[in-house]
Amino acid sequence: MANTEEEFLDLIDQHQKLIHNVCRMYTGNVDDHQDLFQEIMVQLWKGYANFEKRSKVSTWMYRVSLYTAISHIKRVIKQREAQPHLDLDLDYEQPSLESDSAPLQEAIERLDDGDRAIVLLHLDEKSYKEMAEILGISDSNVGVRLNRVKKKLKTLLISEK
Amino acid sequence: MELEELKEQIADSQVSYSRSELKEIFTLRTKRTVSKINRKMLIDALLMILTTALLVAATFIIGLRSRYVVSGQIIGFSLLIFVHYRIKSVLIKKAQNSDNGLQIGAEKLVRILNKYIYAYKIILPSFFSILTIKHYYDLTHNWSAVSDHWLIIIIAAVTGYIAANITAKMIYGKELNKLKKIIEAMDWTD
Repeated sequence: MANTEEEFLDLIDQHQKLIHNVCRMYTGNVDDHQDLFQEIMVQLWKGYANFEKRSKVSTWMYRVSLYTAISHIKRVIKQREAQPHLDLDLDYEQPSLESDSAPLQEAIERLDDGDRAIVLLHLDEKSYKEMAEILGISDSNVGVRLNRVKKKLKTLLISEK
Repeated sequence: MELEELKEQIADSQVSYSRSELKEIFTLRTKRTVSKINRKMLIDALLMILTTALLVAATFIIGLRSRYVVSGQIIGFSLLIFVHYRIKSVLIKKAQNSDNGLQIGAEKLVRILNKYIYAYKIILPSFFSILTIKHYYDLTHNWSAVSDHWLIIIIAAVTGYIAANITAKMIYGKELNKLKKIIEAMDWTD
């Protein structure tokens, strides 16, 4: 395998948790999760040669992953339905989180794509500055929007009770 | 449960592929998909060149009187599609790797793509009409005789406009929809 390919795989290996977090946030089952992960890898590889490393690697990876998750997910699922799933024999399962987090996770699933992106970055403990860089909004806007999303989640949780 | 507690749970969760699994995904999916996309682009380019050559050759074989005009229009149209295609792929690659965030990046790209689409909507009809005018002028060397064919000149312009619209939709349609989806997702102005 060529050096560039090895470097790329090292990068994916180091930051794969980030990609898994995006996949978990935007998919509801293991198959979709795996397919989205693979699609994100395709998009990252396509952009890797042009990545000028002016921003942090994680910022770039978040941008590409979120872009792919929001704009490609329907196509990714449709493609799997149209074509036989590639059997990679991966020993992987969707993480099972504590059951008391289930209502909160269900409420997050009911948020729209943009709100979910804010929650995702907040859960990954990104600073407002990094969130702003990834999402393309101002730092102050991040705070306002995060508070709004938190309120929305509270309302959803109350209405579910 | 609060978001802060979920944050701790997610930080503790161990979701990962092994290095060999990643390598397998990369070899079996990533590289194959990218090669497939590149192959498809090459086939598209070859088909376009072949179609253009066949259409131009046909105008000469059947001895069309306005073969130079028609051939010029065909070649112009093919060049336009090629330029569109290149711009799209270069811009989208740049957008994904730019320092702009998702919202700003998508908005900027939509603005640029729309500018190109508007430009082609002006350039293509003008190009079609100029070639038609030139054709009638070459035949008669008389401007008033050219003006007698105003309806055909207008039809050429309208055809150019329709062709520009169809081309823009075919080439940019899907990408513009994806970008609009990103902009909508990032728009919290409700």
